[in-house]
Amino acid sequence: MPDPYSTLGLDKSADQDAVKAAYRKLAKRYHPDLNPGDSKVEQRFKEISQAYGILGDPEKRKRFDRGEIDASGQETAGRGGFYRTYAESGQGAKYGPHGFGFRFDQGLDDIFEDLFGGTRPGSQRRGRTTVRRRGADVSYKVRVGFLEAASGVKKRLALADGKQLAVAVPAGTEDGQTLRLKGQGVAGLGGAPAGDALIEIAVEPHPYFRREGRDIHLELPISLREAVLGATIDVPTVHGRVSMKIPPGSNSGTRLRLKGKGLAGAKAGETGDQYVTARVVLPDAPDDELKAFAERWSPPEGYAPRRKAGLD
Amino acid sequence: MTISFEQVVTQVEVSRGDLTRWIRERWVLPIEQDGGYLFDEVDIARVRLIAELRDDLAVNDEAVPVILQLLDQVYELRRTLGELRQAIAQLPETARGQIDETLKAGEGG
Repeated sequence: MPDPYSTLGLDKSADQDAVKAAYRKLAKRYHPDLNPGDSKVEQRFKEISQAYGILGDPEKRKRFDRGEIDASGQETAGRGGFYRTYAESGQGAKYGPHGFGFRFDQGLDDIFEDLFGGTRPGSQRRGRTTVRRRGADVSYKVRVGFLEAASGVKKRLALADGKQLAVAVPAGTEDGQTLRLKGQGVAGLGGAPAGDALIEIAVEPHPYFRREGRDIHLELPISLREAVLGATIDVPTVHGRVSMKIPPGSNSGTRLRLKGKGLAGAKAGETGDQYVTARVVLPDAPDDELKAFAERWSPPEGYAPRRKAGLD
Repeated sequence: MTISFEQVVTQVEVSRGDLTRWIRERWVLPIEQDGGYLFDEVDIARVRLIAELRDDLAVNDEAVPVILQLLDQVYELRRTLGELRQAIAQLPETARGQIDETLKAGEGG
């Protein structure tokens, strides 16, 4: 780890204003987003930032001078990704055509037009060849709730170009799935089609439903009485509540199936199921009656749960 | 990954007023969904860049859009250059050779 003073080109007597000025001068030159093509500047910028992180803060600077913190300043929490990491990706495309997406659907003087479209100086040919070039795709990310994704939902979005868009998220959409909206990306050149908007769907987790493929899993707490004697219980599914029979002798881990209560498949007959796993829950503190019962109760032969699990 | 307006305010340490203004000025273009804003990675990185331009590099508000416009053009050019590079890579050996020769000759057509 280089010495922060030498990183900023300062000596120990520099005052805070000089530290700030030195940092600004270097940061303007080495900020990675201002140098998109230069891979070496990122390391340099990190060193400069780290040095300023220590020397720019009079308290930390004193502690560094006293040797209480090292040149890394132990604060390595770090910033997030640089803009240049994403700028040339599909996500960055919305900022592309010359500033803030303002001229999203106007013809641009495109570099391809320059290369292939102009009249060549000194050429015999008159007139222009029209360049046709499809517009760029633009990526977006949206969030939908677990139940919305399960049953399908229409979302109203305002995209970067201000266009209002109704996105139909189909029933059973999975986390990370991408919807393609034809022609909603950057406009094309010379009559070529526009690019597409690619909408990546992030499905929010649910407090008690879990999804595996087309199946839904649910852990269902049941009481001791319901476990021993069986019961009919109202159970939530992604399609609403249904009544379900818990057979007598259901245990923690007993898995029951609600057929067809999962997510709709692409074809009929591919609909998933909901699996309900019971979990027996005792009262928070056993009352006297339960204690007395447990004392009294003589378990049947073969009731040895740890031996059964191979833990004996 | 997407995060909300409030999460950006905490993560990037930018004031609500500033962020609102930057969205209104279209310096940053989060998606609008269900009456709120959603920021993806590129939006978050851009907010951070604007904050750094202003707070660390002492760029004033008048100059920020100038810098952003120039940067957007640089990145758009780089994107286009990437497409050209791919197109050239798919050309037959002889055609690539000709491009190379022309560039070396320094005439540019």
